[in-house]
Amino acid sequence: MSYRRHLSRAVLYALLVVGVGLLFIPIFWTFTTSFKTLPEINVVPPPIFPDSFLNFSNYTKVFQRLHFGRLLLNNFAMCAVVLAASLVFATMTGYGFAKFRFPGKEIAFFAIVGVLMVPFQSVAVPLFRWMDRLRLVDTFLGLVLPLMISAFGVLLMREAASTIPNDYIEAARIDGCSELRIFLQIIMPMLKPSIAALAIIKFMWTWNEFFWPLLIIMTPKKAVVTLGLSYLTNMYFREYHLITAAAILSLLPLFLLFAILRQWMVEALTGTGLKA
Amino acid sequence: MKLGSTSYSRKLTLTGVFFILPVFLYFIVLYWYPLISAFVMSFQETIPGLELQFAGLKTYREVLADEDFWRSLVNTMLFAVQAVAADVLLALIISIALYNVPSASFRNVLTLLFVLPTLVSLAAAGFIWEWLFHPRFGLANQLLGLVGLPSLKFLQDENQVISSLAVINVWVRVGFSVLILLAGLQSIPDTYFDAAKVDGAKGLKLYWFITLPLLLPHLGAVLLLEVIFAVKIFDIVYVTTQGGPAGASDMLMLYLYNNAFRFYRIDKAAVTAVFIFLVLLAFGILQRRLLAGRRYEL
Amino acid sequence: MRQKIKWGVVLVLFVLAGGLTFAGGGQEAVAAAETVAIDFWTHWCSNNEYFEPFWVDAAVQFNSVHPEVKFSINLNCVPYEGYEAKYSSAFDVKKGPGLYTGMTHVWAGQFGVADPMPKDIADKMDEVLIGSAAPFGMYNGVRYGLPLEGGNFMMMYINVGLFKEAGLDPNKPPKTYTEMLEYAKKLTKYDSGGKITQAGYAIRYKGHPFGIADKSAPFYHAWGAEWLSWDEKKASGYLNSPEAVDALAYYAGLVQTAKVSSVDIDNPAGLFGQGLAGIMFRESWYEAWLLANAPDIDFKIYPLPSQKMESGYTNNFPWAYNVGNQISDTDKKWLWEMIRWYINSQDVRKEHYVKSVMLPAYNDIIDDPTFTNMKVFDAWKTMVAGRAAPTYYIPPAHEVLTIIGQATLDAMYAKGTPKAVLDKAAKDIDVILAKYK
Repeated sequence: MSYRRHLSRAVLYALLVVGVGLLFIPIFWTFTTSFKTLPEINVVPPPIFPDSFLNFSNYTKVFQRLHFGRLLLNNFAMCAVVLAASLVFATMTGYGFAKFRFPGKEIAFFAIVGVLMVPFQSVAVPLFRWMDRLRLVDTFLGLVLPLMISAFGVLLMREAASTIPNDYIEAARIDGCSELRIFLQIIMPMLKPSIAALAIIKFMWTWNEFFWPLLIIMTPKKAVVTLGLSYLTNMYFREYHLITAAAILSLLPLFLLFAILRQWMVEALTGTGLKA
Repeated sequence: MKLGSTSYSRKLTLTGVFFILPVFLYFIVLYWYPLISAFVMSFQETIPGLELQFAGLKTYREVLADEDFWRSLVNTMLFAVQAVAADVLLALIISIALYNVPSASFRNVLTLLFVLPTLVSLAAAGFIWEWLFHPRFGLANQLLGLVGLPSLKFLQDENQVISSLAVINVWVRVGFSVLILLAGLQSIPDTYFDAAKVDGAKGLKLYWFITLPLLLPHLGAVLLLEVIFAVKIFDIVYVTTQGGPAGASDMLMLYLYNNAFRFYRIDKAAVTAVFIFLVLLAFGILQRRLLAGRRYEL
Repeated sequence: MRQKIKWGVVLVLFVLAGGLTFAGGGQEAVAAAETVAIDFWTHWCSNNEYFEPFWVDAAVQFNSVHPEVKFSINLNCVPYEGYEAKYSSAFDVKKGPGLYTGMTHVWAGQFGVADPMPKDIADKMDEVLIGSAAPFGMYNGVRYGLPLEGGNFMMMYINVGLFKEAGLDPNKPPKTYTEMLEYAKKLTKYDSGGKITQAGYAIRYKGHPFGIADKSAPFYHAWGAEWLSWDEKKASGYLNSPEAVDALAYYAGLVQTAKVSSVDIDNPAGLFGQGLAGIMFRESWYEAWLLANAPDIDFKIYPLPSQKMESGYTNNFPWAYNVGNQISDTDKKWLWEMIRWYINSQDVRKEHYVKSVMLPAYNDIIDDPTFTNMKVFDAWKTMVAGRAAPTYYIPPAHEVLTIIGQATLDAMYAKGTPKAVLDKAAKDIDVILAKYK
């Protein structure tokens, strides 16, 4: 390899590592603050490292006070269901909009993506009223139903599906494949990178949902992580030592999940699906 | 079935409808009732006792005459331009860089690391950055001092606050955008690149003529999503500046929230929602015309 | 394929787990005795670890006195952020809680979802409520709710060390605002560029305008001004009276002319905690925060200064326990019965506030050593015995105070003269108040 290739590669890596490093500084700062005691945080000028990395008092306080274990379980359940539904329906719908023509297509698409353009706070209370009429307040179904399908997913999948060359689809049709088979066996594999991206994004986004769970959940033991975390800020002051510990605690499960699912994601994110 | 026949094309049409029907119905049933409620409320006004009565365009006039509304609109636009430009550019550079990393596992580790900040909830991100941006004790000024730059006031300075908020927004969003763009890059079939290389294209030319155009749908999606997100920015502002200092970071959503839930002026909030919707709709149409229109079909 | 099955099973397990959590916890079986289960919503859980959970215990105590009913209170801690949305959405569908913490002028005045207090309880309240808590829980002269706190109004905190350094006697606090200005001048330190590094008076400049107005209120009141008249439904003539203009001129002057306050360094709570402010105004809870967060700061607490008159005690967050009027009549009857028992049992109330280490809302229990040993006690007692500053517990309070806060900020940032900004604010508020005529 030429000198230039080596140099450009080195520059590439350097840039990426620096980029990651910069992005990481706030997380690093949060991490170190979570081990500090109150007086340590309030010092001028603030030290970078805590006195002791073994000071887990903030973590235990957060875990106990917020019943974090239960929050995590509820959160996972919510995210899992939302994710499963999202992926299936978003892909289906995106494909439908990208590769088919039917009357009213533009209006239908607008009806779906238009929802994104309205702030959720405006819709939340009428939506809650609707859920009440359907008797879904304080239920799991009531919690996940409005979150389940995302216009964002539809948008993403439509753009992704639009990059699939029509030749493949036409060829399959000529061969006599049913539309369903085409969808499952040709389209979905080709959309793997985008599906994986959507899965990650949707999972993370749902993990951090706050406003809808706030309204719909009435029983404390059904609460999710974001609700628990909001108990650490009250109207008088912010307990930074607890907030940072809680932020790390809520990151950890996601991080672990990713570590476990890394293999699957490697496959998905790198699958191009179209080898000649 | 012959490809050219009308019953075939009808079958295709039905298939298309079938594919989109579940989601379409979901949104109509679940979301359009609340949406229409929200829009209807914009033509009403709240009176004491929190009743709503029909008022035609009265509330619209009230909101349009409200200085705070215009201020929040301007601030939101300034914020959105900075945040989206920075986010999309950075995400593009990062995703292309990641795409070029030859080792798949190294690439995945790096990707996941870039995505890590997005795991943090918006409220937590707000707190974290508020602490980082602290004019006296924040790490940011300490770092600036290290390289000899003067201290900044970031979130506490009227002129810096919007840019500071944009930085926080980019930090939280860039991971999402990178994921989408990377997925887009990876779904470009090798056939395109092979064909282009045969023709002698390489380096930057390759990017400009092959990659970017094929990435346009994903870029368009990212752009639209980031603009929608930026215009609807709320949590970060709510948790840090609450619109300060002295209204310099008052955003449309904060204005809406204050009116809806603190002042119990649901009518004004509804009008604000309508405006947000129109702004985003305008952008969506623009995006459609300029970017998504150019789709490459083989 | 195996991978897919594995993850499918994992997914199903998670969903089951989550679903089971939700499925459980249905209604209790109706026992032989009358069963009353009250849902208690409050966003105060994070303010004080004992104060809200106490009501669950109180219900148990009440039960032992009234075996004919199975009375219980279910505590539901609601986050402060977004609590208004949560409350209003529940009330909107007529499923509001039986007991909830909130500002009465909002929930009774705006939403009409609070049940008025029975006369005997209201009379007893008038008897035992301490002055600073008396107007909490009231709207339009009618009592609805139980005040939570009696001590959370602003008092003057001084940094003993900085006082001594500046040659001031920490046992001789400023008695008037004019005096305070002189003290502040001695307490302020500047850097070479003329920027304040140590504030003489720590002024609040960050955050929602509502808070800004709240913190500036004592100044307006000390000059003899009032923000508005609810009876006349106007602010003009009040908010922009010569007294109010003078007060704002002084307040903004702290930043602009006298330069003893900074809008650059930090908000008062943090600043004082770092030992970088000589004088600060804050409520009683700040004492506990200082002792925990900044144990090295030696501080004293004094009553607020006067000017034309005493600043008086004022609090723009009149938190009260309100009884929701969407619960059944039986539930309501027993809930009021429990409140009756609470109000008439001095011991129970004492236990409540002593265990929470919170300054009580009741004058018959303030002599407990838990309170008398607090640093804030003397200042608190003096102020409670003093002037009751005007209150603004009106339905549009939030909107109104936001406008006042913005005007105050404009003056602090020299975006307009005090007279100009107050004239404009008064006009804007008049429009809002006119709707309630």
